[in-house]
Amino acid sequence: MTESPKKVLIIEDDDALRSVLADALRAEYIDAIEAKDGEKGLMAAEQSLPHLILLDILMPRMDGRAVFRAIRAHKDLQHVPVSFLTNLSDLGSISEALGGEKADYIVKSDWSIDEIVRHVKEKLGTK
Amino acid sequence: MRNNNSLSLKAHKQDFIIPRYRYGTFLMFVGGISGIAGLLFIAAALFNIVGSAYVQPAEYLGLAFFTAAFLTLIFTTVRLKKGFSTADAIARIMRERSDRYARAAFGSHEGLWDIDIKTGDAFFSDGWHKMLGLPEDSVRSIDGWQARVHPEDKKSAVDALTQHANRLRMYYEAEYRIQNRHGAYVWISDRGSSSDNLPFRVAGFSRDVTREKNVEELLQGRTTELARARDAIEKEIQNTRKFSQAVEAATDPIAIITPSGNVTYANDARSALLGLQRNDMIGRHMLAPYREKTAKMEIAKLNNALRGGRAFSSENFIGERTDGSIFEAAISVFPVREKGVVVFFTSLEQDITKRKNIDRAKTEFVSLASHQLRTPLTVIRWHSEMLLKGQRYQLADAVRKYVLEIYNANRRMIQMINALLNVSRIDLGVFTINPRPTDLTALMESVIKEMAPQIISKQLHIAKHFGRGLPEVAVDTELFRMVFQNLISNAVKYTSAGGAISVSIAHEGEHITFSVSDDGIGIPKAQQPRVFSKLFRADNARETEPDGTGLGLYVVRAVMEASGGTIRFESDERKGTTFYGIIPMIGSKRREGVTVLG
Repeated sequence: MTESPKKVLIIEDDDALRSVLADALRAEYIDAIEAKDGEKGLMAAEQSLPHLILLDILMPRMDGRAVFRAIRAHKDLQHVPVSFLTNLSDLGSISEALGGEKADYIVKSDWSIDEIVRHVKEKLGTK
Repeated sequence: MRNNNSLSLKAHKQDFIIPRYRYGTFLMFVGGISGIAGLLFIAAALFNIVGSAYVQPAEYLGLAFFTAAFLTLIFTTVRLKKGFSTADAIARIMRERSDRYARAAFGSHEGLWDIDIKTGDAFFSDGWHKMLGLPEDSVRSIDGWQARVHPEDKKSAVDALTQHANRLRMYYEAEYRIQNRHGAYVWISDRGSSSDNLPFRVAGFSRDVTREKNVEELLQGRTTELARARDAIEKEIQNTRKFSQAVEAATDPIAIITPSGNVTYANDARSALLGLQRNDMIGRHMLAPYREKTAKMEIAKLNNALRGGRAFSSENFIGERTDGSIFEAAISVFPVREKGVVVFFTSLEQDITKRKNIDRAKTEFVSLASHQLRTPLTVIRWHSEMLLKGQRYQLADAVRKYVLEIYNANRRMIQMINALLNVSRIDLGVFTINPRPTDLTALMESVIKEMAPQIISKQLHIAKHFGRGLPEVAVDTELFRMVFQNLISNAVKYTSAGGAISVSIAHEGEHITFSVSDDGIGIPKAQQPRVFSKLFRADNARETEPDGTGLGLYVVRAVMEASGGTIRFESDERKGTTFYGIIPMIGSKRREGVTVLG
């Protein structure tokens, strides 16, 4: 219990979505770090070395696929688990981005906020 | 030869009379009798000279007879000598002439006749009788002749004869049918005339023209036949011309190609599509304009179809015109067979660049819309969930009720958008089919389990009839989950509380069959044909459940058909509905789409 809180980086360009997700995680005592586009997200990841990244796919500047490739290429970040935040129609582009690697994806509109929190906790091994 | 001719002569000799010959015989006869009588009297006179002197007058009479006989003899001898030689000559000439006529008459099937219109008497030669196969001399009157003439021809023949007799015509000429011995009719052509002093005595000849007539009739028939055939051919030519004009004027490119793919004909529309002159297309391979830009695989597929005599159709061709412009094309080829052998192929080409662009725009729109619409919907969903969780804020009951309404409406909207996206993917044909061995019984059970809350709250009874040892079938599990979800949720929605639902799955030969049955509101007969139509909802369904999308069964049918199966239903209003599905045991074909349905 004295353990420092787990860090989850949320890279999502929609402010309302990102903030409500961060609120829900913080309510569970998870350190939620927010980034509003791909570039900022990659920098935040390098700085904070999170335990899990929630990554949106369609974003301005650097999209989720590019961020994912950069993370996997980064020596400090290559083992960090990534869960994609997505809309259904992006499924084709996710599998393309993964290049065969199995990843989790969260179809945003189909998931309740509780389900996402549960998923995050499972990934962090806190539940 | 000679024998034959004399035979023919004998047969016709009686047609000619030679009176002089008979007169000579008579003179010889008279002379002979007188001579014999004279000799007798001389003999008697000699006896008297020897015996008595009282018979002097008899002696004179005998002398007179003898003198007369002697004179007659001398006269006759002179006369006969002269006469015989003249008669011989005449007879010879006559014989030759008659022989000639006879031969001519016999050879040309002619008969001679001589009739008297006044008395009705008639003479018909042997040749004439023979022509009709009648016994000689059996026809002797005009009536006898008329009796044999065909009723239809009688009037014209008799008219011709009387007109000639009345000097209305120079000659008597007629053509008519006349009955022969066997009762059959032969065609006769008559020609005759009379002398000026005996206008009612008409003589002439008849000729058998049956053969000519038959030939004429045959020719007439043939002519009609030919005319008919010509008309038919003309019609055929016109039809063929119409077909070729239709192809020629078609606005879609049409070509005729050999089984090796070479163009033997192409219409103007093809010229326009490819920017080629006709001469530049004929003899060249139909895929020449496509070879550069189209995937090798597609070219090979079409060539294989041509070689195998099969029809082929694809929308994945990319062509390049002579001016360098690029277009996307749909190409169909199909074989034309004669007696089972492929004689050529017809190809249809279509510039589908515009349609492909629209398709792409539609797909992009769907993708964009799904993203753009879902994001705000997700924002509403998550925020209302946060409010309802009430971890930080305890909502007043009234506020909680309002937020709950927002939350529910938002869920419905998300469902509707998911359904619309599914439909749009079905319409675009872009959804993936990923067949995996699937236990349909387990799938059905799990769908029923998902719906337990609704089933329990409506107190519905569910009966399951699953065949034992059902094999797994290779279908897309997630797509069939959607099928079962839609069918069972419909059954739950449209059955009143306490109703019964029954589901079944069975293995029948080459197929797996399943059914979902309810005793609910049913589908009105008049609306049954539209049940699988996009966005259609039956009136009673609309009343019972105002929130449906009218897309569920549309998706069900699309999935069943894309999976190689079929779906149908039976329904009675207010009694219930049963849906029957059939899936082939061989399973579904894999299909790589752009998206998955869900």
